[in-house]
Amino acid sequence: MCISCQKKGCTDPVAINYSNEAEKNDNSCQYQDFDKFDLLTNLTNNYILPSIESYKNKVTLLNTSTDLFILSPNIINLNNLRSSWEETHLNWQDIAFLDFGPSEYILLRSQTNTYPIDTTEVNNSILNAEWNFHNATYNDSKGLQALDYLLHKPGYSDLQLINYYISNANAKEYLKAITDDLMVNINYVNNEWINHKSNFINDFEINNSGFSSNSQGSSISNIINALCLHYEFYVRRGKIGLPLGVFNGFSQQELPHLVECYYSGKSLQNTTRCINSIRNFINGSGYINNDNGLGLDDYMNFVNAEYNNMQLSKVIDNQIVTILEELNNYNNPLSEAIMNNKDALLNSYEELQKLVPFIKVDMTSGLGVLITYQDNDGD
Amino acid sequence: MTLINKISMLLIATVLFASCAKKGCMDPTAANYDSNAEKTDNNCDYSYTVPQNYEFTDLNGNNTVSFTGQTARMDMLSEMVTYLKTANNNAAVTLDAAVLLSMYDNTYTNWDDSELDDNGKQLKSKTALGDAGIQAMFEGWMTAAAAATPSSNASYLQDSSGLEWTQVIEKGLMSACFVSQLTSNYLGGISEDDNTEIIEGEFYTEMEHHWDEAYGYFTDAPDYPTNGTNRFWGKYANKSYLEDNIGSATDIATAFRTGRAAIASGNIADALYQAEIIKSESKQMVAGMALHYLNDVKAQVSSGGDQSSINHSMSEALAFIYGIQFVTDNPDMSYTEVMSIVNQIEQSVAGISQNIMEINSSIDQVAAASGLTDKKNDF
Repeated sequence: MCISCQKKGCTDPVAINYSNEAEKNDNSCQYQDFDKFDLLTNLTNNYILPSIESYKNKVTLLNTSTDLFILSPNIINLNNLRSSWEETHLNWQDIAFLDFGPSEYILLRSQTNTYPIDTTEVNNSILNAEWNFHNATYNDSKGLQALDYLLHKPGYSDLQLINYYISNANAKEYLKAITDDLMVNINYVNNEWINHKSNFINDFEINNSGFSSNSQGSSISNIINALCLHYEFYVRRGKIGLPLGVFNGFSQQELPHLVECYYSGKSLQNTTRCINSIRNFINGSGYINNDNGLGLDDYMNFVNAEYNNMQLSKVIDNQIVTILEELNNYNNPLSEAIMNNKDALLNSYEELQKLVPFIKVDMTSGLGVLITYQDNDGD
Repeated sequence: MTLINKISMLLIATVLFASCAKKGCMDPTAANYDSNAEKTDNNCDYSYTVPQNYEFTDLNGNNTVSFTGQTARMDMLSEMVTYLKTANNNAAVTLDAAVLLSMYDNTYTNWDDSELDDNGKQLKSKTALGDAGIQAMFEGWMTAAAAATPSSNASYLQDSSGLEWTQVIEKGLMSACFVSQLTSNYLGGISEDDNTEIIEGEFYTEMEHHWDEAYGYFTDAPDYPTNGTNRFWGKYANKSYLEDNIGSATDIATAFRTGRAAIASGNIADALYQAEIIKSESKQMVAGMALHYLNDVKAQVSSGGDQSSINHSMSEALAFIYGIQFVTDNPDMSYTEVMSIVNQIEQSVAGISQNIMEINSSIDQVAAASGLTDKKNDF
């Protein structure tokens, strides 16, 4: 029987049991699994924990600056509070896309950075000295965006704003309530991460063949779902697309008041900071020292994920660089650029849009992750 | 021939004489049952092969599986839900409470599937092992749903607090009827069942039949999960949030097939072991559904979802929490424990949905009771 004369074995040179004598593949090939433990250890120890701790420290400073301002509302303390808020806000962008685990549990993103702000509700709460930050209906009356409004109230000069706080005890109390709320939330998240980080690092199941899957609920699935969700809905859509009007399917009517940090006008720096942080995270860069560690890019390379014969990790990184270069063409306030420079911004938005399928379709299929955030039962 | 040899011959002859009654395995459930055996040789073979599909035949090739009554009850609930949903988003539809109540106790004679008319099966008598208080709760929901029609509410038929009766009735009966019957009634009593005699006029033993009836409340498809994922538990167990996290579909279906093969080969100990697996997996399946919808409410609140859609998910969460008390005769949460959450939600579905601390408190209680604390965010 000639067929059986061919020596059988694994004929794939990439496999760990590749046999160079084998003439016919017998489907016995075994492949080395990517070292998810090292990946998760690097992401957790060198990005997630230090970025959350850094934000926690910024919020603590913000809270102290608020105390100072409340005690003595003057221009020095106001500017100190504003710059403390600005620093906190930028640091928030580094962790905004980590909305899984303890952050997801308390809905940290909605509690921290919902916009547009319901200014009527804010002013009524202050007037009546009555608010309940435990209720999600107040998410658009508190957090970083409420501070954007309260520290940059439209129509108020700095002096007028200082006088507003001098003469309004409720407003001072409201400022303090906001920063206390931010502190309580990030202290909880920070402690949970410190106490449960090993659960997270070890949360991938090894099956009978020694391979692990990235099924729903595994840490890698959680990371990638959160990353894609944040980029798609809260960066591409929330920070640029929605105020630009691209989601008004017929009229394309601009909605410039929907930008992040509408009242201070500090929108673009937050957008670019967030996209840059997503880039660092994908590439496994350390938060403190920027060292290149094991990241999702290495994982994509390991599974030979490609797009048009190019390494997918490279395609994604190039696209992020393109987006950052595009956004660099505009100046704050973004709300004015939307009205004055819409055509150029629409082209830039196209670049933001291109990244979505690269991470949501190509990256997820390469790494075997199911996108679960739009999983509606339909009943 | 020596004397000793002669004695030996005599002994052998004696033994041969004594064995004139033909020896063999006399247990008809064993794989090597010998119908000609007159005396047991204590060497019955209780080994078995677990089939790929839930398909079992006797030695003559007769199908030994039947669960028509269970499929009939699923069909009744499907028709009841279809009827309830005609009132969604349609101000021209008035529901008739008498129709709903008669569908519940099957005095209804106008089923789309006329085979259901007068078939002697009903959902009501199998609800919560006949508990009149629980039956009254479902009848109260049916009456209230009808009284609220015609409804001008958008999308869903909900009361002013946000309670959606269709969801609490459908998802509630999935546990109060289907899982209660599956776990408490059939598997709870399986060790008492006879497995030695074929029931007259049928091809199965009592134990085989009760095992099949339990399976029939999980799914009506022998080739599950290739088929049978269109409704009720067969549908939800295979959702990635259950299957990926705790393996509901695979574990339950495998245990059903393994246990049934064990029963058919007379291996009762193995079957009882599999029954315990099914019971404990069922507990986690129901609790996992409750966690899924509580998390779903949070996700919708987080993204500023439509309140009627949030109420829809909150009503489903309520129904699955309510259902935890019905899973086995030793449920993870008692009537009192379950009702303390259910009553609170039912009073103000929309209000509770916006209170993340309250929702998290429910999540923590359900997760702790069902041993799912580590995975509570993953459903």
